[in-house]
Amino acid sequence: MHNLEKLKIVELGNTGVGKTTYMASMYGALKKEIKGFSLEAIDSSVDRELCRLEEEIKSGSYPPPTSESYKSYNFYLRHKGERALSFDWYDYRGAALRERRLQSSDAESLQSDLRQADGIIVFCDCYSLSIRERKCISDIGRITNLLSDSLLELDRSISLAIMFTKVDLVNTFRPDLLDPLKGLMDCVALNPKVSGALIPVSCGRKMINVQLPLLFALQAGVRFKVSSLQSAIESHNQLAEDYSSKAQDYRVKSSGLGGWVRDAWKEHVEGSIPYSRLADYRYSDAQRERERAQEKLKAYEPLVGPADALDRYLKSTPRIQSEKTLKEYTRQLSDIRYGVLGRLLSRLIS
Amino acid sequence: MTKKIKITMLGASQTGKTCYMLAMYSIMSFGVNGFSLSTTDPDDHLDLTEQWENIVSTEGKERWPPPTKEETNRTYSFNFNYALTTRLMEFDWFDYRGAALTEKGSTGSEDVPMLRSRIKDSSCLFLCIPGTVFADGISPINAVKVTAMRNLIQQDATEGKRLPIVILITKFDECKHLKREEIVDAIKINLFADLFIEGAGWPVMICPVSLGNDLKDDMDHGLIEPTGVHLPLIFAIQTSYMNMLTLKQSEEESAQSILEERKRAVTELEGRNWFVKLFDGQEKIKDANSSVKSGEKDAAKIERQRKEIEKKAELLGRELRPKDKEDKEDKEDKVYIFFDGCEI
Repeated sequence: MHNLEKLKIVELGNTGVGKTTYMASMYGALKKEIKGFSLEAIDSSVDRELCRLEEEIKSGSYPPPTSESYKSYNFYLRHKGERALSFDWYDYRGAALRERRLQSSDAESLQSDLRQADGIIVFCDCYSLSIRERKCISDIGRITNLLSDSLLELDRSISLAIMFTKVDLVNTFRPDLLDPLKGLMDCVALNPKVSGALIPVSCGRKMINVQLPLLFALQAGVRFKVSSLQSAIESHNQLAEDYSSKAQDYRVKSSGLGGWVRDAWKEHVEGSIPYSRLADYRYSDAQRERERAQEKLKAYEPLVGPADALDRYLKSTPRIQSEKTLKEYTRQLSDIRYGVLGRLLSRLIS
Repeated sequence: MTKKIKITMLGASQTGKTCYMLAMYSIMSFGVNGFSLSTTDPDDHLDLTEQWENIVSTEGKERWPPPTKEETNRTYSFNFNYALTTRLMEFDWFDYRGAALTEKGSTGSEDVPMLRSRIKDSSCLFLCIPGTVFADGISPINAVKVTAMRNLIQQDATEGKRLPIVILITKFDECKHLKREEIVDAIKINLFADLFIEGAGWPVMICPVSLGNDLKDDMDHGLIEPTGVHLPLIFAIQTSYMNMLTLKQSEEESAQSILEERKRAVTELEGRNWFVKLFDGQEKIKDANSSVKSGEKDAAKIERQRKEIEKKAELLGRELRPKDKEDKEDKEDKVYIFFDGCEI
């Protein structure tokens, strides 16, 4: 059963691709408000650790690969200063991607977390892709395999952000850069339940787009949560209405002298529940459904604003869509990396 | 709604069966036009990609996997998926040692009878013929190997069933200098004439595959760039869907005729005179009506399933059709599909 209370974000990427670096940089950037959104670590020691790492990254020193087993971090996403929702972030050692289930429990739990994820961030080292590094390409195959395996018969909407790390080491985005990802992108584009995007990121002295992958990864989950709550409210209200109208019918049947006779007959001769009591039962059922609708409404209202704001903010993120060519993707990647003017300028220079 | 099928690949020793499977899996695990392949056991993915990585990144004789031996015969289980989340088919792929093909069942090897029984249960057969067969001319030795496959298909294994057959011309780089039509004719006329007889009902695909065009000149160092390796699998899955469709259509027809019969029964019951109906009617009409309702429900369910199968078969069929004019010409991954001896 899908957990509606907390969203789950899982990151996928091999050792050295920059997962921990990204995590700390993203946290540091979103400590301050960006377009109304900010992050708060639930555990204060996590807050201190990530802030320290971010400081080091900004000064040019990058964290070593994660050696311990996978970790989960709990955050609040805040919108305009208010806590909008909580989510868990699952940080796996990159090596877990290539471990057999018999060798490590991480391989098994990675798959199980992927099955329940609301948002997945796939890390691709842009520099390794640009030089066609064999291992990097083979990792994409492994990631596609893990995704195919974990997302079979998916029953909800999820986000899948393909994040290009270390884009500062690459001068231009050429269409052939995306060749190894084309198969995965085609699969995502054809799936209405998976909302995909390509996001170039750089972490270091100059941070580029670090807030986008996380916000995008949360977007489909938040939207799904909002629409689930909305349909739950509608269904509780509908039930309340049905119960009320049933109660009304029973009340009519039990009113007046005729009603009194009918009730007496039902209760004392048939041995069944009289209409007047049935009406009371249905009224209380209706009341219970209204209360449930109210509860859902309480959860729904604070989410609508952030969900709409996320949609607006992420509008220009390069989406994975069918019929889009690799050339169009790379143009959009350049736009979001350098801005339109920057793209034209970098093309002139190169 | 998916079912599990079995695919068996036949071919003499060293015809590239294992390499083909590795290439096909590797290419398809990245996804091709929305279709992708995953192993049902994630650890198998690692085994297969490690072997493929070795072929791609190693140079010298050791890049090639050793010939499959009896003790290394393996069955891999795969999911054939569409758009990541829809499983179109689950299938088992049997990787066996090629020498089993020419051995008789009584030689003591356990895998020979196993192979024969496996063929009986298969939904599609892949026959591997290396390009060298065409490049060197069809020698008596090559003819014996092909005859063994032909016999297995026709008498021993399939007992008159018309299994979809994929004739894979492996190591196509070896015979690239020949005209494609000459090769296709050699298969149709000299090697597997029975499969192309009009009215015999065999669905056949002829598919040239190669792991790389440079391999002819330098097998141990040439660049690995597989072509056309995913199409045979699409054909195998699509023909399975076509079979499922035929079965579902006949199921639908019988559900419809049952429904018609039930409706007629209601009309008959309602048409009786009022006196009979008064004493022996209302209950029967009620029962007959509810049986019509359940028949309608069954028919609607079968219709939904038929439409779903049709949709998926169409999806797969689209992949096999040439996408543009260029595809129809002498493109590297051009395939030939025949049914009943006619090219379609």
